[in-house]
Amino acid sequence: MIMVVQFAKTLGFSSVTALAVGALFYVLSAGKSAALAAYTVNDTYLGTVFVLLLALIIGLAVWPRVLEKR
Amino acid sequence: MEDVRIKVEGMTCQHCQMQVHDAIAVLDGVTMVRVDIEAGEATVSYDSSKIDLEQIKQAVRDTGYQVLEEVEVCPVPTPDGMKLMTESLASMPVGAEVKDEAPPAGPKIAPSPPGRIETTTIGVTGMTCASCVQNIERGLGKLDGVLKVSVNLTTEKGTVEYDPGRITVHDIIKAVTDIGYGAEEIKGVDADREREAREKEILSQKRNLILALILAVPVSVGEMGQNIAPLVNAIPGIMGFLGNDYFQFIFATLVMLLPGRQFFSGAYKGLMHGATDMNLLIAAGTGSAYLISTASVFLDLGTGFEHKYFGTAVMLIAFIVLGRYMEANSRGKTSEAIKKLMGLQARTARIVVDKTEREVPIEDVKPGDMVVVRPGEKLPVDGIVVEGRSALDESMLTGESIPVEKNMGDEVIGATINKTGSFKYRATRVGSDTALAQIIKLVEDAQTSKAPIQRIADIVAGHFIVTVMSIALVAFFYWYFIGFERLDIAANYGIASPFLAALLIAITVLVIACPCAVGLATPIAVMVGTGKGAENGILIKGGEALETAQNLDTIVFDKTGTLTRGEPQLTDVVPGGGVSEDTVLMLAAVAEKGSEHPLGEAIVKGAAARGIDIPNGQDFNAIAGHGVQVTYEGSRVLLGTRKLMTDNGMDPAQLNNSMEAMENDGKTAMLIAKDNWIMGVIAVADTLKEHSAEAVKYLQEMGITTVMITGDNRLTAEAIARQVGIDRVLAEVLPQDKAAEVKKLQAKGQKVAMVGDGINDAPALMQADIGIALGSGTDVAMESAQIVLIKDDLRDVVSSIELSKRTMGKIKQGLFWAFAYNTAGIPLALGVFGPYLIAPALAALFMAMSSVSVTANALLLKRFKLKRQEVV
Repeated sequence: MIMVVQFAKTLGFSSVTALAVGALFYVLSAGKSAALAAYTVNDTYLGTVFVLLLALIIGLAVWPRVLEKR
Repeated sequence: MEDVRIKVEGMTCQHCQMQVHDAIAVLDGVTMVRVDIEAGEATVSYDSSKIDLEQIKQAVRDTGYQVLEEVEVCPVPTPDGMKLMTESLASMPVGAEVKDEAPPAGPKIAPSPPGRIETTTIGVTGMTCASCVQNIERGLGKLDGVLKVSVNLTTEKGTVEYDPGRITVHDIIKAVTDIGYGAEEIKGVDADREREAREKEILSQKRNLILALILAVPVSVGEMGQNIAPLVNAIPGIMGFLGNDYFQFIFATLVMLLPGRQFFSGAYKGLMHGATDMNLLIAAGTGSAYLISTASVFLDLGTGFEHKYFGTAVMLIAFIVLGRYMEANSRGKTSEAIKKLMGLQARTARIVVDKTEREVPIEDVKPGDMVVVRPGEKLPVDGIVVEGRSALDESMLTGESIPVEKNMGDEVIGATINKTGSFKYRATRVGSDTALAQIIKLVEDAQTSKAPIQRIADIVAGHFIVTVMSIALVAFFYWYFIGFERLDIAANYGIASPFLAALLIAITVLVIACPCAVGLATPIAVMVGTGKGAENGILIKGGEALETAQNLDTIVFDKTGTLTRGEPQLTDVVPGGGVSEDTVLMLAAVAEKGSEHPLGEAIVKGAAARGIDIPNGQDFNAIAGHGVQVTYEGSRVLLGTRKLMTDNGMDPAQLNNSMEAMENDGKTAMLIAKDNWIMGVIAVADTLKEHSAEAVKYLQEMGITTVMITGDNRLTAEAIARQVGIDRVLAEVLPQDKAAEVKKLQAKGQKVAMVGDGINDAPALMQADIGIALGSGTDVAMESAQIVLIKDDLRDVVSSIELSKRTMGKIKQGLFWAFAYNTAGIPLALGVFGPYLIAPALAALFMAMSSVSVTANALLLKRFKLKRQEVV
């Protein structure tokens, strides 16, 4: 039970972190896309997904250690 | 009164140690407290009527440290435990308040006490890098009841100290499998299991490699071929087929699902437990390339997404699997020392059952069984000869090349070879209790243990993965928003999509930065080093001893039994006027024949060795403190001191010079007289072992200070020291003061090794930075020491230090190259060097080769020859 709660917490914090980083990327990329033709909508979407996933993985690795220390 | 051992987390220095100590010591009811910073533990004795455990734990928490768990103190002090106590006390600053130095309270163990500590060894499969080690150690360390964990990547074993009252081996194994690794308990020494596991791993990676190459090469050729016109023109049909998107997708999917599955399943299992390892990097890198290519096959992603990266993904997998295959092969080679030792074991034994001889597997032999051995056969177990006699070749264990005579009542050791006659012996030690099994266990434990330098490497590598993932994320941002435009990637590299350009660079970073070489550098070198030692009769108990031995600058030798043979021998015979040496010796032997005094035995043996016939004397009379008197052929023969002669009216002046010279050399000189006529003087002394002087000379050439410690008087001690070439002598030291003398040397900042063989040397062996015991010594000495010299050859002290230096050299080289690969590779992958970008597949090859080269370099240690071998 403790393990499940711990994982849920980790997942929650990681998701929030990933969403924040993903949103940052999306906003910046949308700005680029509006200014430069080389930056397509697909670049923005795919880039956001990649950033989201990578940030989620990093979060899943980092947050348990942070929570453990608290 | 209660005794507990509390696990305290967060202590990093002596100040922390003192803080925790003082916090507990001031509590009312606490009678004794000892804090061991290395183990992260506080041992507390307290009166439970005055204070409870929770109050003690709270006091520790109040100082800012975490209390993890507590166990009762094991009441039987082991040599290791003694060492721990010694170290702990030594680390206390002068004036530190220790309320009670009395030993822990006596035994109070119930049938299943909660504080009993047990150790289990588990075999772990699926580890690939130092991060895996960290993951398992961290995962198990969190479990309630687990006290200490040490996992070794190279041996694929973990040693876990646990409290069986709170956790079972099954729970430990389950925890490891939950994290995503295979685990099973290892009981005893199982050569077949070891071999099978190694072969299984090699076979599995070989199969993966073949499959990966068969599937990946066509995909890669198809991907590249599309851009190489001559290739397309030469074989248009095939290239069209290989370059087909659907063909590429199917083959790439097979690579991902078959040889590549290990990375994805490993990453998934690990991530579910917050564990990161190189699987995650590989999975993230190859998975991204595969997914974006698959998406562009089935979806219209627009301009810039025409190119597929299936080839990149599959070649990444192929190269990494190649690295793992080569690594598995190399790991198999590191444990040859254990294999050789195991190869010494006999497979079967011939035992007497109901008066008939029966051949049984060695596992079926029990203590008490009567074992029959014929000439040329190997002894299956240890025992005592009860019938017959023979000569045994014990060279495999002792290094002694001359067969040793064995008669009734003599002890025999399993794995030695019977050379001449048949004999029967009663088995005394079988299975894991035999001398050979103990040696194998010792070597195995040493190879599983960690050198302190490895712990640092593991921690660095453990944090490396997350750091690399973060760098990859930052690199993606940079190349997407800045680098793509700045380097005009579309024009220079033909990649029109900023997403794809940034993705390829992120993948390259993920792949090139795997810290597997960092994790392998130390354990492989430790394994080869300890193995090399074991092959040469030097048992090094762990990586820590191996690491410490390189820094030794002072070696303290015990005298008797270590530098010397420990038993007196006849050294000089000086006749007076008109008689021969043999006559003098014969008369002395007559006087001592039948004597049980070591000096008398030495004279009789010396005479016998010269082929002198020793007749019997009559009326033997021992004159206490002076000598002996005997009647031979009607004459009175006296053998003894000057006083014995003067008391009997003789003047020994004519032989005084010879006698004094002998005494100055530390020998015991005795006058021999017949019918009131002094006929000569003979001397007996403890003689040096064959290679003592040579060993001391080598050590001095290495710049190491040599010291001799002994309880003997200064004259004798200095004489022996002169013979062996030692300048510094600590004479007239009582056995209990030897450790204090070693401590004095350490207090001067010297790194001290103590070489000894006796029970009285045990405290000094434990006090020294490195204790070195001789194999012929007592069990207590061998248990107290970190290095055991099985062959009793003091030149092996030199070899141990040489081996330590060489091994540490290899470790440092390995770590240097491993970190150099990563520090050079990451900037290269990031595109720091301007327009020169590295392809992901090349990064995979680079990474795989880093592990292989570090492993191969460590294996070179096997070719190093010990000094003693060169001399011989």
